Amino acid sequence: MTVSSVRTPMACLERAIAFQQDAEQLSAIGNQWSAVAYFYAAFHAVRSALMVDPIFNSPERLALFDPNWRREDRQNDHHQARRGNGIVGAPGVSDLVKALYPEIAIEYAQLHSASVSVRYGLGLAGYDQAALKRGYEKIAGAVKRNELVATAPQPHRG
Amino acid sequence: MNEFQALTTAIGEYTVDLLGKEKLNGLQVILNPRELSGFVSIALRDRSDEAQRAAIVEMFDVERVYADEVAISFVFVDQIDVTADETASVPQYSFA
Repeated sequence: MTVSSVRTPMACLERAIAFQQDAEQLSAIGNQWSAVAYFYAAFHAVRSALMVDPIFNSPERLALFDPNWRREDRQNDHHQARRGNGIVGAPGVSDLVKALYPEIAIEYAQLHSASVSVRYGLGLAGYDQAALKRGYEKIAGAVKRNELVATAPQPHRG
Repeated sequence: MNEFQALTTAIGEYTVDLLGKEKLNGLQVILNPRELSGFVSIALRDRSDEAQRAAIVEMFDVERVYADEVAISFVFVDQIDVTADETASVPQYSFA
């Protein structure tokens, strides 16, 4: 069976809202999986912004961030580019957020890190759970206000 | 020392330098040579959210420096268990 991720901005937003509700319910009972749900709520919310960001309509502006990035990368649903032997694969959502949306990059990375820690590590002992919730709210607010629009870096002037 | 252990040690030493020895209770790097992925566990002395956010900014630099070689994930922990992986035959680095 092949599982496809949600492919439209509206579907992503609907999943984001569903995961936010899951996160709030899990948080209310002190369940560590609230961090995972908050991260995936952020993941889907950010994907909705990437899908409509006009930067992907301009290969020249997109190339200012990375010459290997393509228009279709707005649909990517993996987290990080595969790497090795000097080759870097298509950017993941985390890679795109860091470059395109620096205003939420720390919060997004913190949520991703907490999610990884719950799923593969020792849980949330190293995290401030209230800060994770604030981080999600900052990301969700930016998406809701349509503030996540990449501004291409200015070329260096000699 | 094979190339993957050398890479693991380099990532670990660079990360410790960036984050600052005096700010760390411990740090561990474990590399998966098959997937070319690295897993960094960070125990900060200052457990505040502000300190964690500052460390994340430094980790962005670690990811950038090693971007051509390995995909790095990082987590924050309350302490590093340096004995946990003594029997594992994977490249690793520990600072405590």
